[in-house]
Amino acid sequence: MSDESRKNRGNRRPVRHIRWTVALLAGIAALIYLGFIGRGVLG
Amino acid sequence: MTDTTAHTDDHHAQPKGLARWILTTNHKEIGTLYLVFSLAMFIVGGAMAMIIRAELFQPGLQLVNPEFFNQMTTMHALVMIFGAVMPAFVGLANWMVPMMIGAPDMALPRMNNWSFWILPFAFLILLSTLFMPSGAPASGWTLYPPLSLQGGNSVAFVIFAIHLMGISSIMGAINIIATILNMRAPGMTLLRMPLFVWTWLITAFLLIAVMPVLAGAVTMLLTDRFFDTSFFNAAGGGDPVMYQHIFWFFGHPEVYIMILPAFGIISEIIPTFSRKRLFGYTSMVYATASIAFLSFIVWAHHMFTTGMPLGASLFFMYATMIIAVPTGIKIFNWVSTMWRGSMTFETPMLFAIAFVILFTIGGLSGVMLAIVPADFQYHDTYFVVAHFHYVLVTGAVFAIMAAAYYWLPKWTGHMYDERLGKIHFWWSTISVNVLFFPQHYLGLAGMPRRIPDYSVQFAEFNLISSIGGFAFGIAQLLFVWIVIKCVRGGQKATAGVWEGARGLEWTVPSPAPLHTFDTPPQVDDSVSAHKDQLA
Repeated sequence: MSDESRKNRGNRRPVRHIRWTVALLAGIAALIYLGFIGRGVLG
Repeated sequence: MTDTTAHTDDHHAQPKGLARWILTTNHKEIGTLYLVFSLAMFIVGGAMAMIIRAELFQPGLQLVNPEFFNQMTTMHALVMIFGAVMPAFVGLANWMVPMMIGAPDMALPRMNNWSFWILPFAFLILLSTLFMPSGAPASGWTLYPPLSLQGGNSVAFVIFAIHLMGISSIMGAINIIATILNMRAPGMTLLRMPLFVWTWLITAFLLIAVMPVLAGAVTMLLTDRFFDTSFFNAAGGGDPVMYQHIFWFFGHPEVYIMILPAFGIISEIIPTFSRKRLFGYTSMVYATASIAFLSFIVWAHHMFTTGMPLGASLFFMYATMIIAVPTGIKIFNWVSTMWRGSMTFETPMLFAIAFVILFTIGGLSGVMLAIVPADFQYHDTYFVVAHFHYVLVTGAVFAIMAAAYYWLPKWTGHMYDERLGKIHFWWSTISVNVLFFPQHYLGLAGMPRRIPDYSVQFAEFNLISSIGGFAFGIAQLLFVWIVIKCVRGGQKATAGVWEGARGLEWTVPSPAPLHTFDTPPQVDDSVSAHKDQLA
């Protein structure tokens, strides 16, 4: 990426960043859900 | 060389009528959908509140039977929390966050559409339980077992509806975080973001952390009720108090989910009408983050009377009291922003000032409730009802009203009727205090919450409270009329709308065009709503 296009992009990230953000957050939510139920199953 | 991957949507026909709203992926249209849905639920939940207050108008059973009364208290809470307050804030976030950070839309527009359209179905399912043979849930919005497990089959519908609302909230939260972290305009550093964006970023993390906890709790409730498990059934080796711990591990951060965006709104409005930048911007950000962190370690203050070890009670008491520190910082900063400002008192500012005063009353009664020995007296009384209605009505709902008046000209391109707005403000503010302040006295005198009948010594204050309730209810019909009138026409709004307004959303025309910031704006201190504290 050239310096000029990097400057114009500013804080806007490439699409893959959005995908990773979504995957990470959805994964955390799923882990919390299953973790609480798993803890309940273990008693 | 021609870029064959370049793509424009201009040639697509814009759907019209109902299809436009069902298929839309535009953040402004989805924001409008959320806000309209929230207003509809506010009226449904408000009608339930009117039934509650009508029954409590005088001692004895007058209008409804006790079972239906219990259904009303449960459904009123569920509808207001998940149907009115939360979608209103998500609607405001949809409309304003992309415009405030200079993004063209939300990061995931199709998921945004899905997040919204789940909600009407969730609430159709929830409200349909009112017409089932076993009736709607009547165990309170907390759905504590064993009582919630003794209801009819409608509990399955309620749990399914809660799961849908949770999925919708989590998707909305992921979308907001992905947007704020990845799509800010050049120059829009984190510490240049408007406070409303900051508070929503932190709120979205809270949502992702706790909505799965609620989902887990109600899933276990479902299997206890229909599949013979014993998570919370003492007869099978389960623990009903464990449900309370899990529920409030969700429930207390949920309170902050409903108030942090309100803090953000107030932090936008007070500087505008004081014609000053926000006092202590950075401390506001850290205070918001501190409140969010503390919200995870105070849950058991909702259950002091279940009989905890003394050490645990003391921990939760002191942790709760510590929340008063960052909240106090916020109140101090708002007052300091107004100090020596060139203040004017348009309707959004009136609601914002009322918020600062009345939310503080709710906060102070919260500190009273945090005191363990005192809570043994207050627990499950009308004092608690008064406390959380000051926090949620004169707090969250007043902030939503303030935001609606503040941004209506930007949304519709018309100024609302200022005279009617002021009438709405004074009518609401006086009646809401007539409604909720006497409930402090009722609670201190020992009137329990969630009862359709009461001893005669509580009659006078209940009568006053009900009169305030009816007046407050009518005032909100005036609000609906003001909004409709503003949408239909009125004085043309300028791009800046308010003399002291700063921020990117005020650089676009009013009404805001369907697409904004396709080309990212360059942000520096002159257009940022808040001075870059690091500069």
